[in-house]
Amino acid sequence: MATTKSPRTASDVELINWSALREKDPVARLEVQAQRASGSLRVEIALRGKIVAAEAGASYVQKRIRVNGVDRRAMDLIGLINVVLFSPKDIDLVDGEPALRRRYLDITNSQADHRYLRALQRYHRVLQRRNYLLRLIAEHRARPEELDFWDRELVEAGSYLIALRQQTVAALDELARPIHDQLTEGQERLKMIYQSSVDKEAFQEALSAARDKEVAQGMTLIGPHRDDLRFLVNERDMNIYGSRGQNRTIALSLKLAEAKFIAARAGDSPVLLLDDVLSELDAQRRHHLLQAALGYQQVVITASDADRFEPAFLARAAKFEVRSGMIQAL
Amino acid sequence: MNRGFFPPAEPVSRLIDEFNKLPGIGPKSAARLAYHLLRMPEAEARSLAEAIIAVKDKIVLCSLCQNITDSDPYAICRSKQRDQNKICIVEEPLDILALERTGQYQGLYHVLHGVISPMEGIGPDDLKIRELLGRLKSGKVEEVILATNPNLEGEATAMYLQRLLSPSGIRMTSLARGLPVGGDLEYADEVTLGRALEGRREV
Repeated sequence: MATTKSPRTASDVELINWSALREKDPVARLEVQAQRASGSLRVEIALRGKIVAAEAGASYVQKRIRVNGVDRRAMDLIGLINVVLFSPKDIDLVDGEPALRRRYLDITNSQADHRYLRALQRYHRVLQRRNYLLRLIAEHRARPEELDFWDRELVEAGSYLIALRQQTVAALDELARPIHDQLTEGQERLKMIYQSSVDKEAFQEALSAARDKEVAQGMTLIGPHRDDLRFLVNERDMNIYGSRGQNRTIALSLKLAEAKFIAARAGDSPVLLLDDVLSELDAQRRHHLLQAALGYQQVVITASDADRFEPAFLARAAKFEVRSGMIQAL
Repeated sequence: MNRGFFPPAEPVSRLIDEFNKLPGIGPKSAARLAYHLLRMPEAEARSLAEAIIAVKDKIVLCSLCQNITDSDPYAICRSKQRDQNKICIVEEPLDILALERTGQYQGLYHVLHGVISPMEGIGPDDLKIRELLGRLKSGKVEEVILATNPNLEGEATAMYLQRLLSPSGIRMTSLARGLPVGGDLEYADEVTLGRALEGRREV
């Protein structure tokens, strides 16, 4: 509901009930009633499966998005309902590929700033065309002067992306530090650094300097698409030296910090979704996490077992049980 | 092989295939058009065939504006009523029709026949830019209006021309970006609205 896409699957078809897919006119429908500081909001997303080959089930879906009863584009929905999701897979943010961390920063920034999303889309369109042009120049089918326009556009959109990512990382760093202190009982000092492949003030000069190399390789070698976010604990780079337990806690601190970040940016609190986190933490960190969760406005925690929660925490929570696909209040 | 499938007679399936190549026509429409032609009186079918051939035989590019025409130079280029001091640069011949419908432009045109597009391997040399420079040499032109589309490729082309022509000292303008008439502020995207704010004017 926050991004119009499911974090579980890349294909919208899979969101429709498997047995419904074998029937005529398969549909899935989701409705959310949200209360924001600015007023109440009803968001509906309906997926209608289109069957191309009967034996293969629905091959694609038609998505319809309505906000307060009015049809909207997927893009307009972003930022309306803010959600921060932590799932066990988020450990990849710390020890996975740089592309995952860039994507994370892009999603976080796009939620808070529509201009960022526009700049990001423009940047990628320019980047793609610029890379084509670099290859044409290498094959002597285009002249280097033709890069001027694409350089200028790349610098304009790219500097904005870098500036906003730097701001965001600085803000997240500040918010994550005390959270990480709490979760690790002061044992681990977390530091987040945005590592840019280029100084945004000197982007144009750097492009000019890199031109020959870029033409030879046929691609754009500097810019926000080459940047990274580093996590340091006690000054050690966790992408290289972090243990699984350390990295999981870092990802968790990051997500908790993000919720505070969005709250400050958007004016009201996002919904914090903690999916199956308790099973992977030791009793001590579990305790600190549940303590920290109490500081957020709305938190949804899933677990396979109610024992994972402390009785004092359970007493304050609304409890639901999911059994064979049905949800029931306990 | 598909058992029990008999394709239509060869001339019919050939016609269907040819229709299918046209923009906006899928296999079903192509078949419908082909069978429609079969039922048509012979004179009408011949007239259609001749019209198609005539379009290829008689239509040439105007040696001045590069628009498609059956008499070179094109009617607008020949007209004494048009303002010879202004040239409006467009991507495609259809853009001229759109601008002419406004009835508000009295100058000349120049058709580039495309835009700079690295992804399709189209560079400045593939456009009718040399022809444009030739026209500007006469020194009569005082204003060049850049009317390429407001997307990346159109903007890249406009900027290329702007750089190329700026030493000539000819006045260069581009079409304003902003709100569609009859539109709604609420539905305008931020970029368009931002451009509209930038380009606001005294009332």
